[in-house]
Amino acid sequence: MLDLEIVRVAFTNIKRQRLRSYLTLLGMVIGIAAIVTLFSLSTGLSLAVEGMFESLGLDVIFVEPGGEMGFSTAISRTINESDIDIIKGIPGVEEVVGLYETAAIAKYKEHEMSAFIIGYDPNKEEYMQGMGYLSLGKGRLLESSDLYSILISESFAKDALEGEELDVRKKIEINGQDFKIVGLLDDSDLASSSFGITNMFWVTKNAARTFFGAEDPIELAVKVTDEHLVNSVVEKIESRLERAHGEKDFSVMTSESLLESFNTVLGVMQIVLLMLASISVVVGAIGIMNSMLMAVLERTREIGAMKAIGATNNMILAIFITEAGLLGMTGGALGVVLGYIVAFGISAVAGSLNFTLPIVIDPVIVVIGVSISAGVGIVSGIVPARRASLMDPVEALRYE
Amino acid sequence: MKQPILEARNVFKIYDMGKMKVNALSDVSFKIFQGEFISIMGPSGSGKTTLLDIMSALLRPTKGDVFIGGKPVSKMDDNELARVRGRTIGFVFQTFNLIQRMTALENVMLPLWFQGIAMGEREKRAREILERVGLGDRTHHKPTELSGGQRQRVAIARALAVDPDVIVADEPTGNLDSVSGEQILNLLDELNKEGKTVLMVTHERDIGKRAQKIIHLKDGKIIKNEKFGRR
Repeated sequence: MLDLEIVRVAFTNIKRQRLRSYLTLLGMVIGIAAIVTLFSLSTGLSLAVEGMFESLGLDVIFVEPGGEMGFSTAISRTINESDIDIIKGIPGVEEVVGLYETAAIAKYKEHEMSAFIIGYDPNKEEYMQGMGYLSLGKGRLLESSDLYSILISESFAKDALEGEELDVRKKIEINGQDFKIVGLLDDSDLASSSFGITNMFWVTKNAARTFFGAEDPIELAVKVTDEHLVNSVVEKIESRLERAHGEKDFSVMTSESLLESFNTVLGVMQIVLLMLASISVVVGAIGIMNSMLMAVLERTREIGAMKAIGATNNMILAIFITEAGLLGMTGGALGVVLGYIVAFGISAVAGSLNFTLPIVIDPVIVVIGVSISAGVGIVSGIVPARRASLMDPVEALRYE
Repeated sequence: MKQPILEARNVFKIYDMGKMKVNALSDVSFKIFQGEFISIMGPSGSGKTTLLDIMSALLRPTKGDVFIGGKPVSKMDDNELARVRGRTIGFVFQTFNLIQRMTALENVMLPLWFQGIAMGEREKRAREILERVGLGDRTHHKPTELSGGQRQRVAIARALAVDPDVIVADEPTGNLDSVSGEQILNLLDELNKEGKTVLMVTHERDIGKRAQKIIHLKDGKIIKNEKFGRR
């Protein structure tokens, strides 16, 4: 009986709503915008990080110092040179790469800068490259015989010094010793820039030991022969290293487990932010209810007239609920648009900081955003619509 | 004997104002037959608007019953009453009560929508009726863009849209200048001559006399039934 006409009528009514009604929609717009921004950013972040871990490879296991799976363990040195041989003895292990890391101060002319020194074994270069490290932009990579040669990242070479660019063949003094830049590494994507850290100075393992006192590797990257063996190798690394060290003062991570822990953190963040955003939606719902109550009051005579000319209570109910739903939907649609504008804005800012954050317009999010707001609108409209539908026609007609 | 379109049988309307009870109508009975033009007259507070509301099924009597096409109002729920009212009675109000946001055409289409008439048919009928009341060139004007007389003609068109048995008019010229008022009364006359039943409340005798019958109310009672021949 009630056809699409009801939507047209509701639309006519909303078009004529006063500015105040649109202002009460702001809560809904902001709430939905926050939800959309949040979801598209975290999806983008997830994609970016997933891409990073994938480039590390699914057949790689990391052994790091510290019993807990932590991020603040760079200082503690619990991994030994001898661990490399222990792990190499495990069946299924193809190669073990040690990273000899330490911090130092570098000097170029009058400039001083902090440097993150990483030593590696040039013989294992191809494994490093397979894990996404050491993608060469200019010059050459290190050779075993190199002692006074370093690699730095292209973006560091370009941006680290004010008014000056570093380049191959230039010399940098680190801890009082001169080193020559022999190659620049391409760090244009996030994985190769190691999560945005650009001040990494790559040296040979021998240089790290000779000049920087990095006798033992800080972390190990273990390449297995087949990615299906990852879990069994992880178990064996844990048991053998624990026996050798006498305690579990290290942690073993795979790309998968790193991704999982990242996703857990992201998930908690999402829930917290979602709760904050839903407060805004509740505010929006109250706004719509308020706006609809005012509309019912303003249109009392109109409601009386409609009832006189044959509108049943149910029709009046339907008219006002449709209007509230449409109002909510308008807020939701504006919110979705605003949300994506903000997300793309943030992505652009991140992009300018060399962090690729892909934002994809997800039709599911659009549909969910719009339908949540329409649903909230409808729920908010129930009380005002009921009030309208139960009005006495005679009283409503003569309402002053 | 012919069945009346509307009939009030021993109707009382009592308003309970706390300590005081106000008898707006006491024991009123009367019948309206097809094709009649009846005026209800009386001083203010005599209950004429209450009677009009009750006869047009907007208001339920406290006691007694009203029959629409032979069916008692007391046996219908609010939704059924709204539907019956919608197709039996066309309302014309003193203050027009048009929907301001809608055009003349949309206003006239509204009661047809409530009756579940299909879109195309609604528009066709509404156009014909607006044509009939002399507003064929004003279909897309909003009420605020029309004069008082034109607004009341839109209201009459809206009342006519569902082809109701009775047109109920509450002081239809009360808010109009005399020229527009005269035009509206002439229109009601014409409609009556075409066979429409008209029930009108007025407090002006000159206007009341255009009917074939005047019902005089005082203190909620019918005190006189005045009949004129068909002019």
